[in-house]
Amino acid sequence: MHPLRLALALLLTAAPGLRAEDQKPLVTELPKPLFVGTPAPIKVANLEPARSGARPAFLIPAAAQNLALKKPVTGSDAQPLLGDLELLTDGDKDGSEGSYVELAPGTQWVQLDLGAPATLHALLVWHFHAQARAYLGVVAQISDDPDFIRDVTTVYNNDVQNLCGQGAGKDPTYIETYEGRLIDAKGTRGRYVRLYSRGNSANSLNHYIEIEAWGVPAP
Amino acid sequence: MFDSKAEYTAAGLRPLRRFTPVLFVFALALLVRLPGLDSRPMHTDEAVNAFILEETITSGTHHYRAHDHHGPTLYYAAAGLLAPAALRHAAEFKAWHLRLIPVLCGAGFAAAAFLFQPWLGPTASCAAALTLALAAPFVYYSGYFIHETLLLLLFAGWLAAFWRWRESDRPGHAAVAGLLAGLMLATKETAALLLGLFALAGLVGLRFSAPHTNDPVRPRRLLGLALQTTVAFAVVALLFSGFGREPAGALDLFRAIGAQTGRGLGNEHAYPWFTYLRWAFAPAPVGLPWTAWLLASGAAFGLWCHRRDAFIRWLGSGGMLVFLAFSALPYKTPWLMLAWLLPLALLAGLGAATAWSALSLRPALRAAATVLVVAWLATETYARCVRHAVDPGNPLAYSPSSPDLARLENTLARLPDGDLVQVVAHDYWPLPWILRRHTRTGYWSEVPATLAPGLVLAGPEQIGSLPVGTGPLEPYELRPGIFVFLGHIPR
Repeated sequence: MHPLRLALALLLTAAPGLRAEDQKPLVTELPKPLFVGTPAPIKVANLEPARSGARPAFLIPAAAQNLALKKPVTGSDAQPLLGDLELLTDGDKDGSEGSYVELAPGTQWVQLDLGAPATLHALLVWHFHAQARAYLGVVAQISDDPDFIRDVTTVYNNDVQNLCGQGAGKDPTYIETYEGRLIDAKGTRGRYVRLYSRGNSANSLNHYIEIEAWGVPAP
Repeated sequence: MFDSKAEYTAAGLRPLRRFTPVLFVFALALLVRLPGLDSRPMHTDEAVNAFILEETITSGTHHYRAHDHHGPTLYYAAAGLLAPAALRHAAEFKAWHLRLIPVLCGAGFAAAAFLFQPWLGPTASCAAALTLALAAPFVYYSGYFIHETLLLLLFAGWLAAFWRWRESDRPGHAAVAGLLAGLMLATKETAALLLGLFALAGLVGLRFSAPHTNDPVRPRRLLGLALQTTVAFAVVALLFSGFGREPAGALDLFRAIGAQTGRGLGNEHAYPWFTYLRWAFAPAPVGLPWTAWLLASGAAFGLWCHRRDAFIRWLGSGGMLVFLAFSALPYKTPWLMLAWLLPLALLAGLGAATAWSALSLRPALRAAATVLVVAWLATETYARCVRHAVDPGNPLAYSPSSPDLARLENTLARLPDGDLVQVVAHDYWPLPWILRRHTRTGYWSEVPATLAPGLVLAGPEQIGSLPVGTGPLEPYELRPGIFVFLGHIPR
């Protein structure tokens, strides 16, 4: 049989199968929820209540830029358990392994050298956001002194029990999200930014994905 | 203590007058529990139970899951209650439909305090009933569609039935005690501990009683125990086999012993031994727990004053054993406290009645004291069960669902019917309850290869794996510290 005739014959044969009354919408069954047990609570002191809606806009000078990008980082744990300190300023805020640095348990700090004094308006910090957890003893400081002995300004401190030794703070503990934590730097002048932490609500380790320091170079 | 039956008969109370306090307490307990039954966000356990109930109703039988869940009685009771309204699917349920069962059980165990009138006396049982009707822990969990209040109602019944049998040795009383023990076991596995520890307390009590009146090895008593055990196991087998429809399930409870023991001794919900003391007695951000202190001091006083009474000793030692065993087990949740708070409340009623008669106050002063204590209890109950019901600082609120879910529910309510919702998170409960009316909802723990255009609710761990162009992402709190992010995947 000629191929065209064959195709026509097949089409006519199949046609009744395509009539509207023989059709039905394709319905795929979506995965059902899996039953779980009682969830364990996250018990963290001074936990910030849930924010309703998107994060409010935070205004900074038009000339402000992320002065931390690609800048050198030092820290109390020179040999991290995972990753290296350069990840903190590489611009990658992904939450997966390979994008974060894991520091030893207990109190640890990391320090950014912005290269020159600047007026800082905001810090954005991503510790870890692949799981809902809160980091403990979070202290953010700005100074012109690389040793953070003189002229240190603390712009965030939720270390209620002063476990990091930088004084007790009253700022709230918060759950890490992909948005990072926005810290108001209040126009503080300084060349160095130091962040402390002391474990988290899931384990005693310390993690950082990225730190941004938004400001204007000092004249 | 009391020559109970004689006293009871001597009182010469006519049936109507006898039942008036029972009805009053039952009505009062309902009045406290019913208002605002829908207002508290559905706890994860309630949401899961709602879907297990749907499965039970639609499949006609209950499938026991040994690790995280409990026996079938709650679901059968709820199915029976909802049957006249022809409610079968989770999409048709409202929170108050489901919470009616714990409310009725809560009012039931408050009224059940009058079952102890022969051993506690009328004043003590009335005081205990009022406490059970009004005190914060009992009210709080009467608003949760979980197994606890049903277990407590059965437990109260079993305590009375067991002691009645112990006094009478009658097979009828043994059968009732066995029936209630079986229902307890088919409700929640912790029933085995309660029954075992109170039986142990009973045996120890008998050991130290006068041998001529209470010989534990009397054949009649052994027969009674055997009858109770047989009836209990028969009830368990009947309920676990779906009333005989699935005979293989009859032994499921016994097969779960290993899993349940491992759970009790494992790291899940593991807290230090003093945690129950902290939850019950320590000052909390929501206020001082006056109820627990009132119960403990009243119970200690009642127990001391009536320490020679066999029933009081049994109740006290059994309650103490339960408290010690539950404290020793690493696994702890605050609703498990009800098991030892129940005997404490009964003994506290006795303490209050004893103090009542000893003080010989004028009727006006008595009424004033009663009003004062009731107001005291009610104030704490209002704070813990209404005002701060889902406050993380409330020790009774364990992993409460967030009021923020109402905002998400409003957002989702604006969705056109049939729009796709994709939930991608490791921890997404109680979202299925919020989304129960959205027929096109799927749940994944990891981001699937392709996500269709539509809404996505992603856990924080999945944000990085969402397709480019998803967003902006709006955070919603499921529980304190647990978020999902709502985004839109464009076409």
